[in-house]
Amino acid sequence: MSAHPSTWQRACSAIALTVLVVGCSGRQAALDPAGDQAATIEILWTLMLWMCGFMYLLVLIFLGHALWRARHVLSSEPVPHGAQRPAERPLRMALAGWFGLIVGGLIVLSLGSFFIDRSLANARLDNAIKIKITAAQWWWKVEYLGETPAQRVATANELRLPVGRPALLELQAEDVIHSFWIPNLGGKQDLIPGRINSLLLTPRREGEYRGQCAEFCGLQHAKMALDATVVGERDFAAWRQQQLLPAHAPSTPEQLRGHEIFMSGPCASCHQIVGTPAAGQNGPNLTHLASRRTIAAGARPYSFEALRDWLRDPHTIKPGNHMPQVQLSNSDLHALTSYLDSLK
Amino acid sequence: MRWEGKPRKVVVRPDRNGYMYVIDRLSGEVLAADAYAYITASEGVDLKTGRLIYKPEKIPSQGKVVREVCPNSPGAKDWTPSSFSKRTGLIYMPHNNMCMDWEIKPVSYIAGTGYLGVNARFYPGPGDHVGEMMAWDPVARRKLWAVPERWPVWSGTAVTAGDVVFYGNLEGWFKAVHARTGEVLWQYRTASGIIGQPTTFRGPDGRQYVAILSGIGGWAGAMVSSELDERDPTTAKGFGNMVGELKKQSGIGGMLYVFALPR
Amino acid sequence: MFSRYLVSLLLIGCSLFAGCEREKRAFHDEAPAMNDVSPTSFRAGGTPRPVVKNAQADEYERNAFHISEGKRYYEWYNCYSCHAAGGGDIGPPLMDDKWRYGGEIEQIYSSIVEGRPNGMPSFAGRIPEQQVWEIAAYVRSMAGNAAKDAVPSRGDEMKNTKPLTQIPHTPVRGDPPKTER
Repeated sequence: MSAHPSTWQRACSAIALTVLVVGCSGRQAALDPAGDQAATIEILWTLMLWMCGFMYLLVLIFLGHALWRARHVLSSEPVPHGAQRPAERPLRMALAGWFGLIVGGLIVLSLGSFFIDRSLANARLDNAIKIKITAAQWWWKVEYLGETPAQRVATANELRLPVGRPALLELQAEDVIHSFWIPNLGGKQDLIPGRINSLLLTPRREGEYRGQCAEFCGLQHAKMALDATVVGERDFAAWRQQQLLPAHAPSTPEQLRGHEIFMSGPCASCHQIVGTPAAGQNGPNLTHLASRRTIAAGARPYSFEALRDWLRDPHTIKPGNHMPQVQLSNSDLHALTSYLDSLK
Repeated sequence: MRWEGKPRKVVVRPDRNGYMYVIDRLSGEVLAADAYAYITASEGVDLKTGRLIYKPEKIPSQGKVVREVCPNSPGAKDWTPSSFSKRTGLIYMPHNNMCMDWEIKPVSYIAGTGYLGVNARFYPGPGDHVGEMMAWDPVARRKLWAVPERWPVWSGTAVTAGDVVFYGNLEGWFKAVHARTGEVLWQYRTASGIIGQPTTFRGPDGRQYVAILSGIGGWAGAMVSSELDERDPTTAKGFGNMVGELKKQSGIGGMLYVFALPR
Repeated sequence: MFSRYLVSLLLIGCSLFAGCEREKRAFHDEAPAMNDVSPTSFRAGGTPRPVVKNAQADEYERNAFHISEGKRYYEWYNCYSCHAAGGGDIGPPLMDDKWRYGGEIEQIYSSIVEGRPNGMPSFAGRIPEQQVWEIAAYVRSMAGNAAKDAVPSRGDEMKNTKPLTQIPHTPVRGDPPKTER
C-alpha cells in the first residue's frame, strides 16, 4: 500500500467532496437559506439529519456487535433446549430500549415536521407583494400585480424581490404540470393547469439566486430556470418604475430596421413589446429583454452574441422548444438583434 | 307606471344577465331587479349601487373550466326586442333558458384575426324548454304566463291593440298568441327559421297587415345558415353542443311573408 | 444449452433492433419550397391546373410531432376565433369534407399563406413556413385525413366526436378533377 493516494482514490474523494458541498452554498443551494421559508425547512432538514444519522450509527454498532457475538457464539457449546443464554437478558433489554428509541425518534420527527409545516402555512402576510407566475413550456411568465391594472409589470424568467418583505406568489400553469423551486428562498410548489396554488417567500439576504423547474414537463425541462434577485427596497422600487415604462424606441437606422423586421414578421404574433403594436401572449414579454441576466429561461447568460445565436436558430440552444426558427439573412439577423439588444 | 302606489317615470329593461331592471328614468335609481330566468352566475343586484353581486366560484380565470354558468353568453335575453301593451300592461319578452361551461385561454392580439380566448359549450337550462315567449307584469313584478319553445327564441315580438302578440321561432313557426291568456291562437309554418321582427301596419286599402321576414341566421341559427359542424361543441362559440338538431328542422331561407288580417 | 444461448441472443437482438424505428422530429426549418400559387386561388385567365402533390409535404400529416405542434400553433395564431375547434364560427368548418379552396395539404397551405375572400387573412411572412405546414397537417387531421398513429386518440379540447384515431377518413370534395402525384 503506497503512502500517496492513488488516482482512483483521489477521484473518489473529489466526487464525494463535491457531492457533499454542492448543497451547502451557492446560488442554488437549499442548505444556504437566504429567506425565512428556506431557513425553516433547513431546521427540519438538520433535525432529520442528526436523528436519522444517530439511528444509523446505532444500527451499524448493533450490526457490528451482532457479527462479533455470532463468531463468539458459534465457537462455544450448544445450549440445551429451553435454557437461556447468559447474553439474552441484556439483549432483550437492549431491544426494548431500541424500540423506545425508534418510537421516540418518530414522534420527535413527526412533531417537528408538523410544527414546521404549520409555521410555514401561518406565515405573516402583511405588506406582501403579489406576483402571479404562470409556467409554460419551457419559460416562466412573471407578472407583478399592482393596485390597478395600469400598475401591472409583466416580465419573463426573472423574479426581483425586495429584501425583508414577504412575496405572495400566485402559481398557475398553461399547459402541463411544472414546479417552482428557488432553493435558497423556499420549498417547491407545483403549478397545475386549472388550479391556482400559492407560495410565500420572505427573502432576508440580498443576492442573486437561481430557481429551477422541479417537475418534469417535457423536452426542455432541464433548461427551465429562473433568475431570482433580491435587492434593497429602494432598488426594487426603482426597478419596478423602470419596468413600467414602455420599450425604448429604436434610435439608430439598424435598430429601426430590426424593429420593422420584428413587427412585420412572425415575432409580433407571439411576443409583446409594450409601446409597439406587438401584443402576442404566446411567448415571453420582451419589453425589457436586454436588462435580464439570462435568455431562454437560463439557457445562456445574456449577451449580444447569445441573443443572436438564439434568433438564428433557437433549436441549437434549446432543441424542441416552441419558438420556431425564422429564416433571416445575416444582415437582417444583425438588425433584429441590435433592436432587441436596445430594449433595456 | 305606478310604483308603490305613486305614478313614477321609469325605464323597464329585461337585461341580458337575467334580471328585469326597473330604473327611475329621471334619477337613475335602480328600483327593482328581479330574476326572470334561471341564474347561477350572480347572487342578485345590489339596489343601492345597481351593481351585480357576482358569485366568486363562477368568475372565470385562466385555464379553469367554470361549469353551469347560467345564463350563458347570449344572455337570458339576447338583443331580440320585446314589446309592451298599454292595454294589458304586460311586457312580452322572447328569451332563452340556457347554461354553459366555459374556460378562458390566453390570447394574443394579432391584428386582422379574431380576439377570442374563450372555449364555451352551451346546453339547455333546467326544464324542458330552451326558449320561451314570456309575459311579464312590471307592476306586480312577476311572470304571468309563457309559451315554451324547443329552441331559443331569436325573433322579436309585436303586440297589437287587438290583444294579439306575434312572434316566430327558430323552426319557422310564426305564432299569434292571446295577449292576456297566452293561448296560441294561430300559427303558420314558414320555410325557414324566424329571427326577424314582426311588424304590423295599415295597408293602402285600409286593411291591417302583419309582416315577418323568414330566414334562419343569427347566433343561434349560424349552425344552419353557415353550415357549421355540430361535432365540435365549441362551434359558434358554444352553440355547437346543442343546436345540431336544428339543421333537420329548418333549412336556409330568406323570404318576406305578409299576412292580411280578416276585415 | 446451446439452443438456450441462441434463443436469448435472438431475443436480445430483436429488442435492440426494435428500437430503431423512431419518428423524426424536425425542429429546424425544413419546409418544402412552395413558390407556385395554388391552382385553387382566384387567377385571371387560363384553365384550372391540377394540384401537384409534394411528397415532402405529405410527410407532415404522418408525423405526430408536426401535428401536435400544428395544434399548438392553431391556438397561438387565433385560428380558434374564426374556426372554433374545427366546427367553424364566423369562418367555415374545417372538420367536414366540404372544401371551397381544396382540402389537400398543399391547398390548405396555400389558403393559409395567401388568404381567402370573406375574411381569411393572409399569413405569409407572419407564420414561418414549417409552422404553416404543421398547422395544415393539423387541419387535415381534424377530418380524419392524417395517419392514425400520428394523432392522439383523445384531444385536449371539448369534443362531441369519437376519438381522433376513430374518425373515419372523409374524402375531399370539390377539388379540381385531376390530381398528379
